[in-house]
Amino acid sequence: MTPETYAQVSNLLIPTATVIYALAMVSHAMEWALGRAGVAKTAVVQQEVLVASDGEQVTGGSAGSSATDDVDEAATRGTERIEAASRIGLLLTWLAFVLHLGGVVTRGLAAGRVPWGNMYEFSITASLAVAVVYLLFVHRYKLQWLGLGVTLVVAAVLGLATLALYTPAGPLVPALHSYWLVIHVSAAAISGGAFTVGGLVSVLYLIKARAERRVLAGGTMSASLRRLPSAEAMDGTAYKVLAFAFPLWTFGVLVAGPIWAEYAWGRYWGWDPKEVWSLVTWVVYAAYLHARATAGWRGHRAATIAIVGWFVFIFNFVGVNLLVSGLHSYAGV
Amino acid sequence: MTAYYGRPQPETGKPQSVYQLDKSKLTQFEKNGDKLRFQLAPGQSVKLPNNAGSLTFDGYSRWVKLQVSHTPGTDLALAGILLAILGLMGSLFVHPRRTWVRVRTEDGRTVVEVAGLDRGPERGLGDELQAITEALRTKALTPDPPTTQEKK
Repeated sequence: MTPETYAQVSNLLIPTATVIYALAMVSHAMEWALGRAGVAKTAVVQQEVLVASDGEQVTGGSAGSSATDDVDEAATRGTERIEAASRIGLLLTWLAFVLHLGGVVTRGLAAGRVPWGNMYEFSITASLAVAVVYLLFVHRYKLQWLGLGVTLVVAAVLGLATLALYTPAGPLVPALHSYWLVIHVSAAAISGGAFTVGGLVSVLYLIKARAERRVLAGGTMSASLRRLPSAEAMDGTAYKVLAFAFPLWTFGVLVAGPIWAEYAWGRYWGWDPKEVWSLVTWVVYAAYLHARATAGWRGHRAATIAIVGWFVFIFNFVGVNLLVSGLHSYAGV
Repeated sequence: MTAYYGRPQPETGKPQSVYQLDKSKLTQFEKNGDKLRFQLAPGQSVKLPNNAGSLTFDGYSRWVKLQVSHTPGTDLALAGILLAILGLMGSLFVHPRRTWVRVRTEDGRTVVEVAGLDRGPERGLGDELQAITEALRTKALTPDPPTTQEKK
């Protein structure tokens, strides 16, 4: 096949994958919505049981047991439907991932190099990395609860890439002709994916922690939130993911990046907007790790820093390219 | 070539390139209603309009500007930062915690105390104390355990 054919195939696969990721997202959203509806129904039936058991005490009849059966049946039906939505979402994610992978590979073949030479290619490759990590670990670590977040992020990134960042496949700008492209950009993509996962987990942590507090105060928790791991476990997960990402970011972006800059532009550090915001991202995550290790910050406050760090990273990734011009602007963006 | 005229600018102290003429307060010579343009070969001269004098192209000499810089110790700096990252990874991935078992006799009974201290940023000791207690209990209930296997 010629590079043109590869490019055409890639341009067909990426938007298709985007749409299927969006469908997977809808399915996962259904999963959450069903969980929410489930709790309302269960709450109502629980009240009936209370009444029935009161009646049982007085009359000694068997009304209580039949009401309990109803609760069980309703709960089982609800859980089955939630499980089905979750499974459909995961299946669609797999399908979208296969097309996505094909799109990235054909893009690389069309350009004749690694497919992360401009922002469009970086977006499709980085989002593929997120999907790979999620699908690799979804069963081992029971990550189904991350499905909505992952499909939302991947579909949004791919959609943005296709609509706003698209650049035809072509040769690299001269400054990028270096093996540092492989080291620096892949390290940035992997740690960026981990920052995203850490941010998502921290958001879910805040939601779950609030629900747990409500339960302690005598409230109820919706079925979809019950499916999440405990807030404490998610706090630990966020830390592990960010502790993995931080050294990688340090090396890939703040060590390998300046070395490449010395080769390509003749200076290690020139306060280019991208460099400044990479440093800001680094400082925020350093603050996160320090707050945990020395000040003993956990839970709510640590999660807040993690989310701030994620926003800074996203701004560095998208905002800096679109709002200010610097040396990291390639192919127009 | 073309030519400009005007008052000499006062020295401001701002750095200026000697290869570039600041034309902001200068006026370009004109001839017959058009900007003055002329070509000169080495040795030739041209008379400027309005008796402003004449220009002679005496000759030229080739030159090159070289800037040499040397940054010593980059390898050392790189080695340093790589070591620092390794140390950072150690502090992030090694979970420092201390556990101890104290056995003492109290009123003729043997009291076994299991305790731990978590010094890392991760949450708590988890079920490690539980595991130690279980191991001790199993060992206490098993008669004559093979000591060589229990050592770690």
